[in-house]
Amino acid sequence: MKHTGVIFKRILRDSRTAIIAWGIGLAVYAIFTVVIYPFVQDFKEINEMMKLPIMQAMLGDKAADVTSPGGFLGTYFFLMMPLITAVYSVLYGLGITAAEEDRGTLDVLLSYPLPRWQLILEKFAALVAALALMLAITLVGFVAGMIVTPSLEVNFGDLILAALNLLPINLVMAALTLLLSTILRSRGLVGGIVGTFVFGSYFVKTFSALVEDPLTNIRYASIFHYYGGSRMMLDGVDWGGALLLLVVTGALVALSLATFQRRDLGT
Amino acid sequence: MNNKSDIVIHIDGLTKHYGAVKALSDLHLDVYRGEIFGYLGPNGAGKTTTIRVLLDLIRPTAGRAEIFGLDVNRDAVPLHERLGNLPGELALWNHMTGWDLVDYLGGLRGGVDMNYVRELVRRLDMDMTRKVKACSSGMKRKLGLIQALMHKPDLLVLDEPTNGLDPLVQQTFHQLMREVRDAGRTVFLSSHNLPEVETICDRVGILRAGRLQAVERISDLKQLRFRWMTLHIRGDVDLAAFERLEGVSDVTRLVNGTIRFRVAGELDPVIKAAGQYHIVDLAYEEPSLEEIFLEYYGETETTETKER
Repeated sequence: MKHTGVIFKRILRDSRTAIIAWGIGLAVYAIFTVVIYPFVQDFKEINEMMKLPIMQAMLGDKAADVTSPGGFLGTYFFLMMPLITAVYSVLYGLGITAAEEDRGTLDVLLSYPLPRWQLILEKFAALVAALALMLAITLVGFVAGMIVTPSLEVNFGDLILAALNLLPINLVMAALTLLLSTILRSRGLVGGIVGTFVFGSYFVKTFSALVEDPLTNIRYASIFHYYGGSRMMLDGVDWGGALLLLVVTGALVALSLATFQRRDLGT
Repeated sequence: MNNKSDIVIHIDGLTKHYGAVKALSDLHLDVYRGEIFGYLGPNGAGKTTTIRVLLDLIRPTAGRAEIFGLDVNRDAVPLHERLGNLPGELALWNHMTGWDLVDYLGGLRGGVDMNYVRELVRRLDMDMTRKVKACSSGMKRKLGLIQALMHKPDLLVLDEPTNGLDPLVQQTFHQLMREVRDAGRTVFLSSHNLPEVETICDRVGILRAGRLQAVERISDLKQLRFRWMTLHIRGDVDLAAFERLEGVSDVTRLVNGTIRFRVAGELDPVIKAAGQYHIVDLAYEEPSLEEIFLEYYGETETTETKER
């Protein structure tokens, strides 16, 4: 394996504007969430409200105590985050092979001494780095918000772990996009399928919280079940679930390598 | 030349079908070290398909190809180290400048001679600080040539290299190709332009509807070729006077005073016959490839092949 890291570095360099813009956007979201906390903190009735079926249907969880700092951040920030970052991860997944194949730049790259699998792995590794950088900027937003909101007392370590837990679910979404785009030749179709899958998956999880056993078991079919929910910062991250998402990511990437290695390009 | 050990590209029974479309059928071809080989054919003949198989971008339905004795699929990575490629429909990254491109692609390749890159930039008169998206198609073509040549590869594979280049740059390109050949390196270039292939190539393979029709030395081809001539003459013309001439055929009167005919071989008899008339204008056309096929092989194929 020669000239390792050239693609990785180039992609990160080319993505730096997007990474910073996304990081700042998420950081602003974090700051706004944090500074709202004092208003929620003393509003104990909100916990009764959160138990209403309509709220359960939206949040899909055994409601956390949203007046507690951990429950508040879990419910108002981390629960929704994958739906937001999904946009970046799915678009990135489309960019790994499909966008370059459509444009024709893949014909240039692959006439160089670069195996197809190395191209995919380096680009995928660059996604991990891009997400990590984005989340690091987001954490800076949290720190800024917490400085002006001393009543929101959370362990910074727990916050970092909750942010890290965002990686596996994003990687699964990107890997699924990658696999589908190596099989189907239409970016629009792939984007549509993955978008439906992500929102459908979220719906399955919220739905499972409303129904009785055994139907509630459908939650296992949702990637959001393995990500965890509003109680993430109260009960701790579900590392078993995170590991499972990483294993699935690995499997999806391996399948992508196999299909992409074999097929004709750009036809 | 033409020893077995000098074979650079060896294509053996190469076939590529896209469903019912036969893009390439049972292609056999050897290209030797130190030659400029022209791969000639009309659009849709299968030139690009052949090149994309050689680059392992697509996989053959049957048959195989080797370059430097290495299998184009199994040994693609080590093989690509020794190869420079210019795609026919070149796509580059719009946000990069010329120098970014050299940095990126040079990093993937290694072994780029920056002095040679600067020489190429100077000779092709390329502005490397300009972003790709601000480049004309001719400028993109120059960038494509620079990246194909920058590591002085043993084999250059160029798909329609002069498409979109202005005539002055074409001259530079021809000179560069001769230098590559003189250094003992090999060029495989596709074209649908016979005069260009005649100018720089040593041998030519003629592809039509996915089949290799012939492989000829350019020197042999030149003896066989013909052109069309149109004369605009003031006054009456005797068609028979031209029909009698050696090498002249298909004499027709287009409008009053304008005649068109085919000339093969030397022009001298035609010029002397025309000298008796008052010549207003004279036009001279290269035959189309289709006409050359008809001339050489006396057959038309109706199979339409879509070029990929």
